[in-house]
Amino acid sequence: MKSKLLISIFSIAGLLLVCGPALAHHGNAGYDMQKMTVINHVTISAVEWTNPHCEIDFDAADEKGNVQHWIVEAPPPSELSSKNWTRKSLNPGAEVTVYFHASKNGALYGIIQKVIFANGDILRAYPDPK
Amino acid sequence: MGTKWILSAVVPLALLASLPGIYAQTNLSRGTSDPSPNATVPDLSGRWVGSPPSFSITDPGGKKTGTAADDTPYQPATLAKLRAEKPEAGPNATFDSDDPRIKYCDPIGLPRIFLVPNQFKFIQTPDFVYIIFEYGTTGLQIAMNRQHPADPDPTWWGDSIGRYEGDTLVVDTIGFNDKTWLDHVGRPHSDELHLIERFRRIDQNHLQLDVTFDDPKAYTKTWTGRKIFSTTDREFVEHSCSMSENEHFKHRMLDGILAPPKSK
Repeated sequence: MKSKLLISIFSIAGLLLVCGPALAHHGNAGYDMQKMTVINHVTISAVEWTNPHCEIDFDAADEKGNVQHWIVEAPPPSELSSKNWTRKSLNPGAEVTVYFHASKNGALYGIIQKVIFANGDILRAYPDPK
Repeated sequence: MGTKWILSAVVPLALLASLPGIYAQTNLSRGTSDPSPNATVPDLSGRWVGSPPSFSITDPGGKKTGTAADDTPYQPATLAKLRAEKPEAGPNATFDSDDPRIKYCDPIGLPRIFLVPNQFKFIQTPDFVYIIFEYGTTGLQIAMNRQHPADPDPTWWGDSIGRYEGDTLVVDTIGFNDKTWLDHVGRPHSDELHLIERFRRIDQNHLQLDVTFDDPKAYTKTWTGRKIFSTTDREFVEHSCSMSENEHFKHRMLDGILAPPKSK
């Protein structure tokens, strides 16, 4: 059975996202900002367009085909609006690729960097790493 | 006949009496903060956006905060207080922050509200300048034609008075409580903080804020900071701090992120 999951993990030394122009409300200390996690073919299950952070739920299958449920935070609506997001940009059922920094403790949480749609459209929450 | 005469005289007199007030409201150059009848008031219009985490000129990214490389003139007790805090940014950044604006939705206060990546705008009238903030969503008034009260009550935002000096709006604020942080990296202040903010448009799309922190109870000498703002054409998007929404985020995400790693 062909796994739908493809995880790529990039180690990026000296990542400076912590000092980027749009700090998360609680800072980034709980996430591994040195490592970018990329998961293809995730299915968005919920989007909460709210303060203090927008929250994006998605499901992804692991190597064994078990579905993992992730929740990643994004900036609040006022910041995402400045990056051309609307509350309907990302909807339940969408299949996308998610770039994020995962929680340091291994739990299924993270802080999103960007989302790429099947047609190539990109929604960035934070700048691409340099 | 007598009554008709009085009525016919009262109405024109009332109109004449109201004219100076109308004139003062429509001619900004007649504001009492600028005695010269020909002087112009600087145009501070626009939607201005700042950036975190501090006003420090030598360390705007806040990475040196509280270290030996930090040139802020702390009183010893102030530095101890800073180092005991758990801010969201700086060398002591923690995810489980005790920052009062995060933990309690406390007012973010001055001048820290100018560090958030949200927009603000000025509304300039002769007697008051108002600043409307997307963050909050809140607003401040700056009295342009009076002095500070002799003994203002300590409040979150203090008492602000202002004047124009050429192309600069100078805002002078006292009467703070000591509950807010000056910036995102947690610099404290006392209730004797005397804050001076100078706003000057440096070009069509940029505004400069020069801040003077005069707080001898918390700092050994006056020190200064700076922030440059740029314009946006985006409309306001509400950013209100809600304890119920904070609790929701805490339960949905924060607790899980702060939990110890699961043993494999």
